[in-house]
Amino acid sequence: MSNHPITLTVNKSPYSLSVAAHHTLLDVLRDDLGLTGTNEGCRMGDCGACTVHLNQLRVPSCLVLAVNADGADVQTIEGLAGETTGEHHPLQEAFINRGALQCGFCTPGMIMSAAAILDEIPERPLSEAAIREALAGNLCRCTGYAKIIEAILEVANG
Amino acid sequence: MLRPFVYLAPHSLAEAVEMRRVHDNANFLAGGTALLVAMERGQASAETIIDLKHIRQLREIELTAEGELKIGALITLREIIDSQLIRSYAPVLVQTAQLTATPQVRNLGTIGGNIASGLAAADLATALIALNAHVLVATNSGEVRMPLNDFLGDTKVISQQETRIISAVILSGARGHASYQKLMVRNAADVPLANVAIWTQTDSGQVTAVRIAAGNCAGRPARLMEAESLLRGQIITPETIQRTALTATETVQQTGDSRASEAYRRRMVGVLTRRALTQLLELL
Repeated sequence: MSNHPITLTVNKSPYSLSVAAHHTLLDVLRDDLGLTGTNEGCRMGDCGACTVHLNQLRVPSCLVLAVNADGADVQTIEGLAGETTGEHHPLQEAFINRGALQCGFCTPGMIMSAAAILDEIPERPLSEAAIREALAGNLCRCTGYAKIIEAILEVANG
Repeated sequence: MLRPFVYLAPHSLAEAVEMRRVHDNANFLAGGTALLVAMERGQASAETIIDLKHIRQLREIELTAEGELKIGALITLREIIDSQLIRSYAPVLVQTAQLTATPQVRNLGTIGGNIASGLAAADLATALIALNAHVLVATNSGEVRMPLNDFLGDTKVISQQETRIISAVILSGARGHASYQKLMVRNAADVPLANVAIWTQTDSGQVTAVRIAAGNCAGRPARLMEAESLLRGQIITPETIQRTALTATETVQQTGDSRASEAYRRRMVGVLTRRALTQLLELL
């Protein structure tokens, strides 16, 4: 069917791509750009595994047509670590240190949501209740969320 | 994977209407959070997608010279939550948006899409019915303004064959007080099992005007006229709340499905009516 030229900035690198109209941002990130850190879960916007930042807002990348994202600035889990040093983001360190993952499938989306939450909610100390509410769009079937929330609390409140 | 389709991106409403006229089996794309899911599930198909994102007028929130609040159809749930104008004019819309979908989906989903999705208990649409919102609709024969209640139920004013694009939602008239109540399986991120929105205007405690809306009424949110009549002219007390809730349960028409039975939904409409009125009693 129809192919469309688009430009994207992904993790601060510019890309010029030709995308099929029916391919989502998730498809293009994973299949065209090889950025497989963004996971495909439900493809229905329910699970949050495919969460990326689109123009500084967290979105399920499975519900964004790539052609619709033309010109956008995208950040994925691969772009969250220190750009020059390659060091982990504090959230990544906290998730590792606290053991806030088991199978790991939800983790990239969980961390991208957590990074957004730190900006979305300016109040400090950040409360557990606020984090739980803000994480409603990220499902984890292993951890029971306790360690995930501890990790985010640690980064937010020190 | 979505099935292939042709993608069009008009820059004006007139262009969008014309594209729809010449392309059969076309769907309009707003935030995509309902349409793309329906297409992924095979519940909707489209050979052509007409993306409305480049139509700038759909992205504006403005207080008009007539004192009406005009909310562009592509305003997202997140933008509703963040809008001081909407918060001061109709705080219930902010509360409703906060109870809708997930934070990620709220960054994409739009007010126009919430109405156009046709969900039987669409959160914003239910609250907007209680607020007596109007919609501006672009059609083949020009722009039409009508109450949202008519738009959802109507097959006469605009024939179903005709192209309809919601361009804006308009709030006007007395502001009053409103409450939105929603029953979910989860505490968040869920579609309503049942929902009720109530708007009231009072004078010295007496209800001078009231609108009660519930979702899941024959596939759409609708007004509960009998319950409204019972409350009009009364003072909101625990006793009138109880009677209004009972009337809501007895008169509401609900549709049952795999998530909840018709009988359960009717009972819950009563419970949510009581909760909404109890909250309004505290606000007054």
